[in-house]
Amino acid sequence: MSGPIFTRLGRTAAVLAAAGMTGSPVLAQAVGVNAAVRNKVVIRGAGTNKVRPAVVRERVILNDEVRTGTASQLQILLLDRTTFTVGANAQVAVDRFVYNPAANSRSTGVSVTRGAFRFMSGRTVRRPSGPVSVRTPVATIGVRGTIFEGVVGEDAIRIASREAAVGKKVRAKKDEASLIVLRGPGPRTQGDTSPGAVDVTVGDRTVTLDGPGLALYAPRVGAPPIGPFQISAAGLQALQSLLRTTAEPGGGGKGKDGTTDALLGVAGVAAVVGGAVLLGGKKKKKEQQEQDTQQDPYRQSPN
Amino acid sequence: MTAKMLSFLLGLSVAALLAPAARAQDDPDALAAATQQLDSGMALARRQIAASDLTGALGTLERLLFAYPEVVPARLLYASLLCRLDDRQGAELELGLLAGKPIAEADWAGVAAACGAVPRPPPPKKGKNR
Repeated sequence: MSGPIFTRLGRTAAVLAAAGMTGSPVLAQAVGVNAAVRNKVVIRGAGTNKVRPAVVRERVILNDEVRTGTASQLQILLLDRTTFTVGANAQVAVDRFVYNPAANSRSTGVSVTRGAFRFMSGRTVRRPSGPVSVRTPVATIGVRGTIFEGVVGEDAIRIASREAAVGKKVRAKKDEASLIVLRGPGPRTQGDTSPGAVDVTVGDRTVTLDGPGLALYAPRVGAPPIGPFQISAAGLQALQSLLRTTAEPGGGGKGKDGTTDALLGVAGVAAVVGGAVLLGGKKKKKEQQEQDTQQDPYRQSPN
Repeated sequence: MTAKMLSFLLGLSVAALLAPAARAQDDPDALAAATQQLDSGMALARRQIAASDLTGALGTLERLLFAYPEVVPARLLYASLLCRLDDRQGAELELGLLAGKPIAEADWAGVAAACGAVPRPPPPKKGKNR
């Protein structure tokens, strides 16, 4: 067998190995899997109006649209091991994904129409040769090997307006406002990681966030971005409450023994709804207040 | 049989042989499966940490905490990873969620080693186990 045949063989093997990893048909381009699902998460298939509940280990297809409900989350593990977490009340799609492990290259594009998200770059490709970006209605975030979070919409306005660097007087649009926060790795990171950064482009301005906790707020199209500024502990907590499950009431999840399996959203939602119906007036009100406090840490302050 | 077809068939065979090994190392499906159970998820996170794949371990623990939000060692390990990634503000936020939860000394030692001096969450009130 000649050299070129071996080259072709290698390429074919790489492509097929990738297909084997996904176990998916070649025609619908699988870009990753649903690695974890909490509560109400639905997927609208690419190019269709068919909506189905998200299920753990189901393939994520290019241009699938993810929608999450209140207190709901989805973690997508892309083939290049990038982790993309979709928080509560979000609408997101992976609209560009090229990954060639043999050439150590990739190009990824994610669109966030509304809601909270977290992006963690995969370790596999250390020097990405293509663009990795996340787009919101008002900003494009270029990713340089990093962990960052963001929120689009009313939650962005709610969180940002309580930051000293922003204030309540900034005019924002609820379907455009975007808050971006870099989490790390920072300059003192350990292990096999390097400090990360994001370049956030809003209109004709690009602002680099290169330190943990640095944030940028883009209130609407046409308005200059505000920042970078260091996000407050309360602001970060408010963002986190959209992105994680906690052990507090309303958080759900399995107990220590894993007996309560609510990984598939429908059951979890049914339980929450059923529980709410069973609760009496005062108790229901008190628990609702607790949940509100969990979602909005500012309510914990005495004033 | 043409060289092109031979190449394709051989590629198919090689891919079939390589697939299981790939699954064990990097396959997203296998990584997602490992976090369906607490023990296997914690073991995976520890293997990733040992291999210096801190962001991989962070993703693993995030999945685990979706399903098991009350498991204190998982959140402590998550917090210690945030410290190792130089996200101290995030680590302190996670530790704040553990107020009133029992924390084993060995688990706290891991946090202290990663974070240095960091406020320890207050222990459970007397007469309360969790």
